[in-house]
Amino acid sequence: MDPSPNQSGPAATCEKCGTTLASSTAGGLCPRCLLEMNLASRTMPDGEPSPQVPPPTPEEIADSFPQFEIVECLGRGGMGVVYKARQKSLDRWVAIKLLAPERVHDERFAEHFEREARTLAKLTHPNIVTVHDHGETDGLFYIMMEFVDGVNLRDLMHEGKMEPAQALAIVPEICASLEFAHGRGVVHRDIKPENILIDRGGRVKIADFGIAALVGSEADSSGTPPYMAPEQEAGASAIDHRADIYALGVVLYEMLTGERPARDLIAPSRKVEIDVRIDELVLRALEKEPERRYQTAGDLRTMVETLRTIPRNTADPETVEPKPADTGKPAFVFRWSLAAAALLVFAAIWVNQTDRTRPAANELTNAGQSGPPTLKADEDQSAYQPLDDAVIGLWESAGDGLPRIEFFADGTMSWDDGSMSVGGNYTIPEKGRMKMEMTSLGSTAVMSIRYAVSGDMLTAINPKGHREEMRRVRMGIADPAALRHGNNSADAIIGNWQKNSDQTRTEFFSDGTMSIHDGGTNFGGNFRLLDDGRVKIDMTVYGTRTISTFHFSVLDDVMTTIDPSGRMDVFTRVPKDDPSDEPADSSETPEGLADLKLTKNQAAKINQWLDEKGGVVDPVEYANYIRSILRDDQLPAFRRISQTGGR
Amino acid sequence: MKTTPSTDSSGRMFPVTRWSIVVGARDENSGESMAALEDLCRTYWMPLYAVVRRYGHSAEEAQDLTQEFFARLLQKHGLQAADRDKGRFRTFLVVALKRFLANEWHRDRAVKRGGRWEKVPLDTHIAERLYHESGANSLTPEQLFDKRWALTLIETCLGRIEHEYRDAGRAAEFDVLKVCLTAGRGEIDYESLGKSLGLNGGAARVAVHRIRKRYRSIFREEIARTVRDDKDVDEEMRNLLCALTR
Repeated sequence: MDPSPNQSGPAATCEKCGTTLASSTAGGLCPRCLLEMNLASRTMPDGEPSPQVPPPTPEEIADSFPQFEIVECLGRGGMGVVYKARQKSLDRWVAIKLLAPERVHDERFAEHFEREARTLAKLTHPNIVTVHDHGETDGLFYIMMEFVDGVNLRDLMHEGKMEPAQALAIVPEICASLEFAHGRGVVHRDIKPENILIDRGGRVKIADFGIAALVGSEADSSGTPPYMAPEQEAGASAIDHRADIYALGVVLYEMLTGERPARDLIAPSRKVEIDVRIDELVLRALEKEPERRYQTAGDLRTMVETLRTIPRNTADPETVEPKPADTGKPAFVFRWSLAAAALLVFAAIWVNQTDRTRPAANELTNAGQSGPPTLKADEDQSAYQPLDDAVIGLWESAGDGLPRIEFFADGTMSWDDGSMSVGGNYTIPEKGRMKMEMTSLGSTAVMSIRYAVSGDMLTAINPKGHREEMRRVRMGIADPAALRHGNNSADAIIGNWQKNSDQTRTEFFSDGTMSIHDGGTNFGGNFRLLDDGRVKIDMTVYGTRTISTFHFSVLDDVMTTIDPSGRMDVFTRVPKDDPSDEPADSSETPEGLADLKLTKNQAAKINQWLDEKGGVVDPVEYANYIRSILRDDQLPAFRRISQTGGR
Repeated sequence: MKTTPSTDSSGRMFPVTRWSIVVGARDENSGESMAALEDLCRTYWMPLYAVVRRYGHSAEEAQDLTQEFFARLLQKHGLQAADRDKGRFRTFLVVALKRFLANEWHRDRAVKRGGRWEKVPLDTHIAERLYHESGANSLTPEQLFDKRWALTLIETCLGRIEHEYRDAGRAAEFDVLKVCLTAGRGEIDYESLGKSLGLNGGAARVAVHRIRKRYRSIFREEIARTVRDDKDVDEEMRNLLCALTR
């Protein structure tokens, strides 16, 4: 170092390197040091650790992605940071994953990245998060993917574990995605709960397929240690698809027991009360040697599906014909899975904590076939405490408008995620705190949140600190003219109505109960007239409670309804039997119905119905049918009969 | 100051270098190429001035000559392919300047007076002062040019990062943090630094990390503007460090 003589500036020198400093340069700092620090291999001064730097904020990366509106940072993992963004040109939501810069090894990375990303873009499968695009901008390597509106499995396991039925329901879809990818030579290499997403429709989507391989070189043992197969952890040069099967075994073990398998593997059934046949399944997936595991994801899937269809304690599975999962009423099986997903998503996104759950009675049977609909007993609303009026009304997420939640003045609530609504009750033990109880699939989840209402905004904060901002929705009627002339008093709605669009019949009774008959099955529930003129329907269908509302207007024998989303339906009154119809005599009256004083016509209908059933009658279905053809003045007698269990 | 997109989370890759735009342009006088060249010249005219002065021209003459060189350079067809076929903008510029001064271009500069080059605002007062502060007399014109170049680069980078902090309403934070750019091991008292920023020690460490990382990123970006290939950035950095050490 040979400091030059300085002619005109002050003769200050840098304490660190001895360079002569000129007053007017480099903001008074030593230019040599300012240059030299750029040559160091690390950012922080020598010997000082780099702090854990938070990921770039959406604003910080916005300039690099001008064609997107970067909305929020969804999370960060070892591979990078994921942002939610709106692709302006297509007006669609996407997720942008920025690869962590420290993963960008060298000049050849770009080539490697390009090659792998092209492979991933070809993986199109309903259970795999689609890769839309990839590239590099401002030095940021990114992958643009389908945005999955939902939660990941880690969020769902908020108490560490899940109901076995729920856990097993998720596995086949994971297997389907693995089967597909493995068939195309792609190994995921990093299966873990964080990468297993469940969207609002209940569909399982696997994220980050092959990202581990994309980011790491072939021999790199990238992956997440607890989920890594022994051969992967050992850094074996050639790991194959069976590493994914092992990882899925770990995930399943964790879903069932709330713990990851220890070195000395303990069968899940010794930790929690589950079907011992699940043990075999899990332990085989977790075999240390790949050769002893299930050899394909398809094998594992078949096993899980068999286990789900054949209830526990049946005779030797080989002698029992597996019941197809969709026997009977596919529509309701579908609804069931939607409802399950809706409640799970509700629990995870909105509240994220379940205080207690009451498990369904038959955990391993297919809940879609799990029993007849039940008429809902009148709820004792008098026990209900006065609450904070400020929450009453309809709210929607300030983000994308979903979910929508309505709190009714009678202490009931409905939660709607756009595809399915789930009903429940809420209480406000003290202002600012709310307990909610939602029922789906026969399980009731109780959740406690804090909330604050300010003007038309409601902020809900779950025990984990997750905030959800919601805005008030003013109830509007899409076409008020349609409802202007009719009668919308409580009396007007009483009666049996046939929906013009789908021929279902809905009957409202004067005691506040109601039934819907879809041509095959009756579903019962309650209805109530709200102060704003809407009718609120509260039904429980196959263990899932649904609460919905609509405005209505009756003009002569036509009822027009409009629901809060503006959808209009038209119903026509089903003519009552002629009141002058003669009373049936005792030989015509079905057994046990003498009290009802049936008319000949009614008795004939009931007898015909019984004949069609061929002697096997579900009592509740029977009761609903009877109810659907009774006149109002006959109903009190019917209630007495049904309450005493008379058939 | 022209701002370029943030590369905060990388620092490894760069936007297309501006010099490479000039060099790589199929049509050497394309609008894009010329705009890129002009942008570069605006940043690095100061070392040119120092060299012209070093060749013995008076301050007034040096101002005229620098302006004229600038004008020539930016003139259509003023840039010959041979000149551009150099790896670095810095090398190109000093070679072109020496050729300009040695040629007789400047003889008819009166003709050019009033031309487009007068539109380029050059603060010659500052240039004059910096020329004297550079220890100009003991250096060859090339050494002087390189040293001036390195200082300009550093000023540009500091200016950019200061501008970014100021734009984000964090000017005061920058004033506190900038000394950390040159700090060595154990020289930063994070607790007291945190106090003056209203942060705890850990957050102060993050703030230091951020500003150093951003500065490094800007620095590489600026150098990358002047070389043809990103691979040359590190070598150019070492060259400039040598220039400053003289």
